[in-house]
Amino acid sequence: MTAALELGSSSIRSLRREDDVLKSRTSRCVYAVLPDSPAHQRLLEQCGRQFTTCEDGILLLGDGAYENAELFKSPCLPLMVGGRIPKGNPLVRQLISSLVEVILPIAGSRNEICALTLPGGAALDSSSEARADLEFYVRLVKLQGYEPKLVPASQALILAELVDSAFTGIGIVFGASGCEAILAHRGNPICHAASDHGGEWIDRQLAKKLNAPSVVSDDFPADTPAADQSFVRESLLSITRRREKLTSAATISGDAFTKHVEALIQETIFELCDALSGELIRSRRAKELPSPLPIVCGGGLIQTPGFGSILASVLQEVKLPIETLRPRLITRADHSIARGLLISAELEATSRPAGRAA
Amino acid sequence: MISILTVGFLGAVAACFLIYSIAHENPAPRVAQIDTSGRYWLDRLIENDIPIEEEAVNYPHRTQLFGKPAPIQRVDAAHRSVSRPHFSTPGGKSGVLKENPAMPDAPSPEISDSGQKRIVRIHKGGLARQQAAAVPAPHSVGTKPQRTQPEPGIFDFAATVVFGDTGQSSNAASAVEEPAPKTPAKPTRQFRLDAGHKATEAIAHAEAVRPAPTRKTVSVQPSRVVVQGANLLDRILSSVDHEQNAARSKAISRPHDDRQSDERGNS
Repeated sequence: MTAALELGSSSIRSLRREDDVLKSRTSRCVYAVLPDSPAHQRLLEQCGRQFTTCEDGILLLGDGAYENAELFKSPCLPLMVGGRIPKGNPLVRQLISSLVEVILPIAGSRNEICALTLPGGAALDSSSEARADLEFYVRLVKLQGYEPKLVPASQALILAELVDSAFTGIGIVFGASGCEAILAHRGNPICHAASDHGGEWIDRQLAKKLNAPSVVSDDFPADTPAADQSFVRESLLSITRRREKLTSAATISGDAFTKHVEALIQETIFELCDALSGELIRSRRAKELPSPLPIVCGGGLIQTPGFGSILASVLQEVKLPIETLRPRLITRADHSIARGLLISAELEATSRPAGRAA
Repeated sequence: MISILTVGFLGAVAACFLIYSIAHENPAPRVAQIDTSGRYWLDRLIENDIPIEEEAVNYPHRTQLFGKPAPIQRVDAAHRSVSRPHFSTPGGKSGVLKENPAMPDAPSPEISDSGQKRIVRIHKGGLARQQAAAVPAPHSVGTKPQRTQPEPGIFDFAATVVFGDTGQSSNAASAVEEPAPKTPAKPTRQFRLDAGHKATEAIAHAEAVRPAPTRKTVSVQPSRVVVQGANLLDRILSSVDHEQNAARSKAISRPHDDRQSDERGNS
């Protein structure tokens, strides 16, 4: 039995097979702090909401926080900033570990493989030096009884969606904390490009354009207090909600906010495609692949109206050194990356006994 | 008989071999069976042929976590420039002369999506009355009249009110007629510009009839705070000036009264 854990900045999802059914658990990566009073506890009990307590407050976690924080006039805060665990905030670390425990069930047997992605992208070499918080996530997965296997989200997307082309092509994931692209041949990565610009970066730029008073800087410096970060994150979440509620492209609506969103998305795509183009030029194997190569795109950012046309225009502008097909957007499959992770874990699991027998 | 024994012997050997082979079965065929089973599910998974069920998440309930939540603080962006202090100078001059910076706490405009021409109408008379209550009396200084240019994008409320001589009022009126340039407001909002009240006009007319001072005058634009009547210091200073003037007039009149009383006493 294998499992997949899709750790993202905005949501966390697990997928595993039980008998002939795939079972999934999903939750948003947010929390809310309510005043620690008996009245609040009684109200939450009556509503049937699970909550935890800390020294100075009641904590709502996941979807419960997302749905009920506004009722209690409390801000809904994301657990991660830019895909990273906030430093100097032990409470958030405990909440993340609690969330992983409830999302990823305990393994049925020893050494079950769990393929996982990391928020903000993962290094191809899986080195612990690339991510300071990698050890934290790996430990959480091991505590659930699994053997972790790190897989980039874009590679998982290729495994899930590029079956017809024998897992050969380009997979791009436009996530909340960053974007990444991989050129894979038969499922094995050849080129990898990543960018820190994602949905959160777009929201920060939007907040600057709207002159939101809470935004202090472009990126959080290391010495920024956690308290300052929390307010910035709270205000960004409201902008994120506004952006996610967009229903039509700027060419149709003519809304200034939509225009700014599209301009920022264009910049984000351009930066990633430019980096990918540079990597493709450097790679020798990339030029030997059969062309035209398919492109598949996933992630939350592609749900924005007009994303496909922006991507097509940017790809025309950048001119990748290899011939590609028209990009395909996976907009109606939330479990694509998780399914790709599960495929990767199953491949690993099926290849292991044969290897041991040999 | 011999053939039966031979067949029986061969059968026994075969049975022993069969039992031995079952007892010492090579694990390789079992691995092959596992691989086949895994391959079956893997193929179905790749073909996206397995249905997905979403499970409810049982979040931790009534568990105790250690630590305190980080307090939520408001972090504002730094102000670009702080407006000058707004004092009444000894000559009675009030307001900011050279620059009219944007209000630090003024709400920033949202991105306007259309360049439609909007009509800005301001109640001039009411504003003038507010101004009369809020600022000290106009004064004259020996410099050329000058008008500060406010920053675009900010409503030019200050331009509607004139400090100083009445000769400046026509400029103000013409300034009011202009539509606000690049006003970042929603298209549906309109500000009405009404004519001034008669009482204000009468005052202005009386001031116009008054003989003009010999020195050149200047109109000093107040900041928006003054226009909105929020500068409490100016109000206090104006009232103090008024009291001082009253005290002076009393002080001047007292010796005269004293003289009169002396004269009466003498008489």
